[in-house]
Amino acid sequence: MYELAYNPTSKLSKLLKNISIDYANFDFINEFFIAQTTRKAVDIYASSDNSHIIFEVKTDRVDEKALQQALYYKDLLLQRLGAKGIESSVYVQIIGKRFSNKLIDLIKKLNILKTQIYLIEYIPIEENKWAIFNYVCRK
Amino acid sequence: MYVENKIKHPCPLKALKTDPYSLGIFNKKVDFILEPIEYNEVDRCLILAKSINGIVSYILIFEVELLNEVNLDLIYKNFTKFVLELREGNFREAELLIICKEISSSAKEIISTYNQTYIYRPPIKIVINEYS
Repeated sequence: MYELAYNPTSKLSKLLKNISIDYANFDFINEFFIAQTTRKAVDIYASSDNSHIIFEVKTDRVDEKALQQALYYKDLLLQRLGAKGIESSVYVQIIGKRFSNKLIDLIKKLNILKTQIYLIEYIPIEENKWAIFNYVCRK
Repeated sequence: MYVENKIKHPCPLKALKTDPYSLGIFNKKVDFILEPIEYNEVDRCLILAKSINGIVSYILIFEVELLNEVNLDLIYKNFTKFVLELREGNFREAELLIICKEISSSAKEIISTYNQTYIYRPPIKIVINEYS
């Protein structure tokens, strides 16, 4: 959150090499209610003019249930965007410490349909005050 | 999570356009009122409107000879374009059905993965046309 707020260029350009983001119009919000009637809150939602990023953050191991949840949020966001939305402009980032092999396999297959799902592993450092972020699989 | 039906017909899209229940893919009891709204012979695509208690959803039917990763990607792109433009991004109100003579194992795996991860969307259905 701190990096997104104070240094998005360095953090996001490193993580999201394939996404073109207009940082002048970049903003983010945490605990974002994506559809009021469903009472579903996305952990972090970030957007610029043409890109939307859903961050689903888990504290430890991530499995396919997190993927199902994130894709549901993605559908709710697409519905919210309506005709203005383009599926390829909505990115899903699932952050966790560890990932199940099944999840990695599912994402590799789904990304053949250009579903734009990314897994990011975080490694806590400096007594859990900070973290290093690495991509787990991109395709 | 992967289900396929089988049919045997020389022109399944034309048959479905004339009578959506004719090939046994759809059932009057389950699918209620089906009405063809658009047919594109060049793209081999048929759109059916499905009405249940006044709520209208859509079924997009594509026909290909061999369904592989490449044309599955193309079909999916057309499907998402339709949902975003005409259904305002509501994927729960649109179903995708693909009729093919053959399906590659990778396309089968992608569809199976899609059906078990997009749990709030209707599953992608496959119909194998055994007509030769």
